Amino acid sequence: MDVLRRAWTIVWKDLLIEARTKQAFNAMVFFAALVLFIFSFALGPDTQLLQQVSGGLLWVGIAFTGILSLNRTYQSEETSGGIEGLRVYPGDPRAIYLGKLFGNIIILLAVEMVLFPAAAVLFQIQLLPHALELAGVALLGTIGFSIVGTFYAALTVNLRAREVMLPLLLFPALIPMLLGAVNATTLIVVGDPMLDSGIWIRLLVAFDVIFFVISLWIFPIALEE
Amino acid sequence: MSSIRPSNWHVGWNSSRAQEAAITPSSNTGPAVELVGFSKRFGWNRVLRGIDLRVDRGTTLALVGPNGAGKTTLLKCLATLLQPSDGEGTVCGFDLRKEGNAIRERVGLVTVRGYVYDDLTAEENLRFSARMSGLRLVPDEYRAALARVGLERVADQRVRTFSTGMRKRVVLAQLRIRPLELALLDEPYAGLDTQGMGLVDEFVREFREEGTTVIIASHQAGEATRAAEQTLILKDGKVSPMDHDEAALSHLSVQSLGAEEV
Repeated sequence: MDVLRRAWTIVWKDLLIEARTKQAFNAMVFFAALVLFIFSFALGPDTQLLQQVSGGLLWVGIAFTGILSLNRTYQSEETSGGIEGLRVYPGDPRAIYLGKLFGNIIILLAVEMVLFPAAAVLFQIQLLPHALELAGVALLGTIGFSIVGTFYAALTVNLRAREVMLPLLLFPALIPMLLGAVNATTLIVVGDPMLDSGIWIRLLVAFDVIFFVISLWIFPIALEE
Repeated sequence: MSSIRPSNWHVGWNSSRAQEAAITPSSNTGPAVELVGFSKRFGWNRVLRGIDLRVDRGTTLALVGPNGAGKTTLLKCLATLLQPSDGEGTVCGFDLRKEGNAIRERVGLVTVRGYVYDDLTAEENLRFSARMSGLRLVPDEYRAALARVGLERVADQRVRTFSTGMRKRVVLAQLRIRPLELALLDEPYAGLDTQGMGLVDEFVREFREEGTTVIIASHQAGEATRAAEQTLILKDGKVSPMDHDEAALSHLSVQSLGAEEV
């Protein structure tokens, strides 16, 4: 319980600072919208084609936008002495990971609240009939992305080329999650009479559970100097 | 081995403060700090070179030396933020390599800039610090802690708008909201006006009365030695003892203590 209480203290602090500065949220929304606009214009007005690739385009937008959030996960600590400012307190260091993970999930989900309606307009997708299924896939995908991303962000925070290293390390590890999220989203959008999306959703659940356990287990080692 | 053992000043742990914060004071009565052959390297750069040091509980120790001498590195090692490269050490009776959490429960560290968030108010910074330390205080207690350092009027202002000295006062308030067995103060006088320096001296005096061990690392030998009972010089990664009375009386500068300014 102490770990969770401390994790929520970090979430409270990060969200309070984000609410005041809006540095991450504004940049992420503009960047995500820009990515979707560019894809939309590049692919032209073919509605069927847009719907068939909408899952891929959405998750490319989320992944690129998520990198912005992950890069500032620990950099936001710089004014207060870096990640050291969190390590100086007693308690299980996993609280730092959980706090940063919850914060990333919340911010990314908030961006997706803007991103999905924007994609619906640009790619002419009917969101409302599939809202629940899409929300489920978005939640599972976002959690998976944040679980791995928050861990790798801690690994690369002290590197000089961290902005380059983070996506280089992260995206290969995210391939199963991206496969699951893209296929499940596309199947839900274009129609899924055979209920094939269930396989991809199970893959997402398995990815989230496995990587959460591994990340939580080895995070204290990653945090050492 | 440099043994700092002023037994005539030794005061035991204040048990009532420990109960307030629900932490268990370390049961053994060994030294607050004991280092044997303690070294720290960053790549090829050997910052600390085989330090042997013993600091008894309740002692107030000044660690003086020029910039780059390794004072901050030593304090961060004692706060378990850095792992030693070689050697062994205990802090408050706990192993530096294996019992970091037990040490962090008992040790407070003040760095030059402090662990303070610019976009939180002074009170929010205190609240964050208290909650991360496992404390639940009521708003009046935060206000009282800020009043203690003269910041009650700006409690609701973001630290971003504060001067260096005001920021340092927030850091000092953070240090005082939880009971400590060892307080590590890195350049505590930097950026403070005369009143602020007096506040640091007052805090050090209070720590001493409570039996808390204090280590003050500073390149300002005059201020540090004035507040401390014992003084060590850290130079070229090694510590050597210095007669405290001599330094306190003469207000010697770092250069005249035998260390060269980097």
